[in-house]
Amino acid sequence: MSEPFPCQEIGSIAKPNWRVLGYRGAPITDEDFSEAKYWGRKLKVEGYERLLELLKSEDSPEVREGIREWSAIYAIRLQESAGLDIVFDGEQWRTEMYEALVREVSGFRFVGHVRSWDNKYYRKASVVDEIRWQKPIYLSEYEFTRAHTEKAVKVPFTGPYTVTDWSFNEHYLKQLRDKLNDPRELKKEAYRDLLFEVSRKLIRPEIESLVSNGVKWIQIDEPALSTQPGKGQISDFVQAINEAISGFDCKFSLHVCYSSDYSALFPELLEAKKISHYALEFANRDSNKLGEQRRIGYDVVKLLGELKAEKEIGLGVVDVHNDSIEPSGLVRERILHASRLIGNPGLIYVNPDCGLRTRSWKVTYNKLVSMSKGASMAREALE
Amino acid sequence: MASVIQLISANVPVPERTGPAKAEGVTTKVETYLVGLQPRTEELISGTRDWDRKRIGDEELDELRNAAAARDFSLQTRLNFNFVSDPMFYWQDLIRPFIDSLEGLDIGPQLTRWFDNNTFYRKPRINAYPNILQRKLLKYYFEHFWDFGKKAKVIIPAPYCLYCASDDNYFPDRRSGVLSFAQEMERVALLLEEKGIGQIEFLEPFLFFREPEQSDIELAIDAFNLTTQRLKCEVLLHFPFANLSGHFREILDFNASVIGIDFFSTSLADITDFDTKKGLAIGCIDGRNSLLEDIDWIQSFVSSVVDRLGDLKHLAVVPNCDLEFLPRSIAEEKMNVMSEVKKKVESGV
Repeated sequence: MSEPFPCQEIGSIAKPNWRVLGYRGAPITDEDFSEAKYWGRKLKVEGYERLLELLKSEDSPEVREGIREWSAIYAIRLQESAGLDIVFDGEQWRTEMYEALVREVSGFRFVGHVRSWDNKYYRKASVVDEIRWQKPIYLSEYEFTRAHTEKAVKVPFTGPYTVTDWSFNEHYLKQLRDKLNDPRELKKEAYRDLLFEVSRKLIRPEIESLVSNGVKWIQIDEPALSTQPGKGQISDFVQAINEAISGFDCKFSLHVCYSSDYSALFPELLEAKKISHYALEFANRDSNKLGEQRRIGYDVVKLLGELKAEKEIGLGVVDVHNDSIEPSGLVRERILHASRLIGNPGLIYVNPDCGLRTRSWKVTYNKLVSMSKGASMAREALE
Repeated sequence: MASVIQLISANVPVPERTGPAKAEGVTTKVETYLVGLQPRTEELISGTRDWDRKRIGDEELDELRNAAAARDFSLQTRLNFNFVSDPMFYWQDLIRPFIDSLEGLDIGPQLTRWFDNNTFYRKPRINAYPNILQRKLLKYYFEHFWDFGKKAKVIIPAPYCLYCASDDNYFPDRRSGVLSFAQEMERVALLLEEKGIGQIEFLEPFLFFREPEQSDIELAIDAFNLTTQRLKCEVLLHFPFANLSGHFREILDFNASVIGIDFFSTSLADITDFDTKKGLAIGCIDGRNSLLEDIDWIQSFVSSVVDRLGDLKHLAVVPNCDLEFLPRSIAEEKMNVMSEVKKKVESGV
């Protein structure tokens, strides 16, 4: 990127109601229709009238597919219009970050719903056989986005640690059951076996298919990393991810969020040398007041500076868990504060803490616009 | 209740014995019961989603909840569990009922990860001295649950856990905060005991999830003993997700009649100095993996525990943690496994 503080989204964007209902073949309300029209105009989506026609058409597989494509185009335009420099499709094709990946891979079997929080649940799979990657999973998404934007494109997807952590492990545990009696040791060893198998047999082939088709930036999402106590898991992750990404001519970023202590990731994580960019959540743990001498949410940036990591930081400057729009001045302050801590503004990228999928499009758009404006103000301050 | 049984050792490598030798022919009782929140049925999951989307109202959701609870109570009874626990279908997480029923606690905006699970809870903020509103707490239990009398058990957070799960904006220091919660949780425990139950289980996942400071262990012990000092019913202190290695002497200082150990987080070989006067709830049914435990394997493992520790006052086979980390159908299969283990052990096979 030529200018400092390039802006990006780093997770999914909410699927509009017209997309959810339309893709399901269910009737949409007048309000949903108006929403599609409003955003089509606001984002200057070329040919959006075709979507409006589809939303009024009789249900068919072609109509459903068309609606899904339009939601991806809308998400791309939303990011462009908000001023982002690196874009993707807001994961409009995907059901959810875990399910969308493992349902395409043999060896996994979905076994039912598990609660995530309150009345939110996710479908969880068991690994019941050897893992086998079968076909490109995200390539068509990338090609679609590439064809619909002039901006830089990245492909985010769930990494090996999170796939392992969020799956039940039957197959690899069974294989060790006769060798290890202690349940703790057995589970730990089976976990490692699964982690390395996911890396080698799922993540690496998928990366290979993407890179060989022109992908230049892959974001590995690892929300589960850093949830377990101890450093052993970080070393395991480093070894596993190195096996998955070594040798590819591609930029790799790593997204981790809502860790109780990011400093626990370091210095071990630096050994994953091909990962050149860490996108982390900071705003959630920072004060919203302007003029703070110490911005407590950003302390780990200082650590990276001290470690002379020379890694790019995807700096979370927007909290994704509330609707209030961070003032551009606050965004500017956070960016400049982090730049001082790391000592090299050229390493700072600007993004929300995580995906904005739990926010409405209006809130998402306003947050991203304010974020881009804050980045622009920070650039001016540098000059 | 559990009958008297003889455990048969199987072909399991047995770690070095640390407890008193088990005299030949001495028998050991094995109980079974659940230890945390239970997973909602698929029908109830669907109902809560519909309720969120305003497709059904409170009454319809309550009907679904009652049906799911009736199924759960019936299963626990049919499987002859020694204690029947409320499935906690009204609880959004372990902490939420206390945010609602303790004045002084407010719900925070942030979702916070529940240890190393892909599960989150709403972190409370302590803004004033805690004060229990009894009526509010009792609405979190199914009315029918109390009919189980002495067969009923309740599951609540230990005082140290409740404090650590919160952001403290009120107390001048950690000690006064934890001990204040301990006092109020004593009122909670006494209120629940008055309902005629047989066991109160306190969950303490915070203390040993990461290696604690000695001062934290002492504080947790002081708080727990303050909360439980006047209880007459059986008190279980369960440590899900906790590696207790190196802390068995300290654990004995907790005023609990039974200690629950998550054997997927603590190695059996690390257990030393366990006091056989305390009961042991062996968490060897994995609440975080779908693979069904082999009955012979559990029997062998229980035998290894007995061989290592000697005769224990009370022995229970339990899940290592809440079963709510599993889909309902698998949780029910695991409950069946627990029952089968008990039958097999009792029949001396």
